[in-house]
Amino acid sequence: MKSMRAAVAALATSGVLVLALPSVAQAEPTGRCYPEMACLYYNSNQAGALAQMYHIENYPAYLFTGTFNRGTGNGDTELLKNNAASADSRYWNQAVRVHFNSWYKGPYDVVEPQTRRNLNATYNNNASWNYHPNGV
Amino acid sequence: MLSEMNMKRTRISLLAMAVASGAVMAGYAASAGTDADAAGGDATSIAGSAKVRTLPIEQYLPTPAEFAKLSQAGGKLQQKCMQGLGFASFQAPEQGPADPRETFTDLRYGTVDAAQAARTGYKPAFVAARQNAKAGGPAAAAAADGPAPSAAVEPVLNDAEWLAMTGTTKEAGDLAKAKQAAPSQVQGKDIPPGGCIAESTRTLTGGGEQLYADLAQDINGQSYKESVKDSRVTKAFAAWSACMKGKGYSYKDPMQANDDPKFAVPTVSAEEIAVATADVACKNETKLVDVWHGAEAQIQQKMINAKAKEMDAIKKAKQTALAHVQ
Repeated sequence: MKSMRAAVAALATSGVLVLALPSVAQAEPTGRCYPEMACLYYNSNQAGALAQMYHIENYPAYLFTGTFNRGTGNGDTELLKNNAASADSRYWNQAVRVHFNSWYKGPYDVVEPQTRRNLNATYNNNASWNYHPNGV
Repeated sequence: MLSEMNMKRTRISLLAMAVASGAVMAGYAASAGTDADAAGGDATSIAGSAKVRTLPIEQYLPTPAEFAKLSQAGGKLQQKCMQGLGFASFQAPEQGPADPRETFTDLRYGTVDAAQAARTGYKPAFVAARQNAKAGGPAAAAAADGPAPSAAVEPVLNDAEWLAMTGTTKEAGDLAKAKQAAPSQVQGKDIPPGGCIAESTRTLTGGGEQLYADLAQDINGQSYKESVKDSRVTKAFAAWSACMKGKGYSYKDPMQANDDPKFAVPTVSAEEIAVATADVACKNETKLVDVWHGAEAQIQQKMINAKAKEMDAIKKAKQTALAHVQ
């Protein structure tokens, strides 16, 4: 799916459709992975568009109902759910985990504080996320 | 200096209050005996919890409870490291214990607890507790989900503390390039590579920089993805699906029911409770979770065996780390 989208995007930027699409170069980045949050990326190795993961107590962020942040690179404004390839954490004291299914079900990828990881269990299958471990 | 208001503790105490309020505890106690099938040598019951199923990968990855203990030990090491760098009064926050009901596999194969399903459908009990703990409930929570970075779960470090702790600057990010560009000293003292965080993990594991080794996590994900294609499991899915059909629901496997967009809302509907209850009954009737778990354990062990040398080193690092907390 991703390669198809990329191909379509490449076609678009090379052809007449270019005028109808916002240019990544022109768009002002609206977010990055700040301290005290973890981030998901559209591509592997923390490349492409990013989405910030924080405020887990709040609905609906923990179900990934949003999109990757506009203006942050390849895949920006794509749906966040089931579209993430890698993650990193800029928490210093809090691990997070990404679940394969909704409502914290299925296997999960753990991202420890100040580490990064190419997702495996949840590669293009990120459906919910939580702090790790889940506290009492 | 650390923020005086330790939000992590606030969150934990709110959840603890909700748990202590009775309903949740009663539900878990009631569920203890519902999963009676004791087949399989690696499935046991613990007091106040549903059956615990273990997987071979737990020899290589910390369980949630182990990780909570290791984080506490890591915090003490970080504190010592920070004090060595001149932050004399630095204190690492206390790590709360992991939810004792949380095991490596408790939600891995979906909802299995009939009593919980009857109360909160596909949402684990802690979700309801979390939402109730927030003043204003789910609607206020959704409204509060703004774009500003949140420091709700950990104390905020000042710039110098951040540099010492992470080996990066707050502005530059955490990629290797940014680490190289960050100052190598703080208050005239050399920062260990990766800061006090990486230093503490190296001390715990005997040289590694992650408690969750990438290869072990990769196998943990891969074995699950293989398991849902295993013929024993697809056969059990079909039996489960037929059972659900008999109760008036059309889903091809339990995770499709769990992930039904109809249930992706904060409130629990009567329909969600009915479907989740039917799901658990059909899982029990078809022995689905035992079949699924058994198949995955076998697949996982093969994957571990195929990477024996690397996995042995990962197991040793985990054992080394656990020796610090036992």
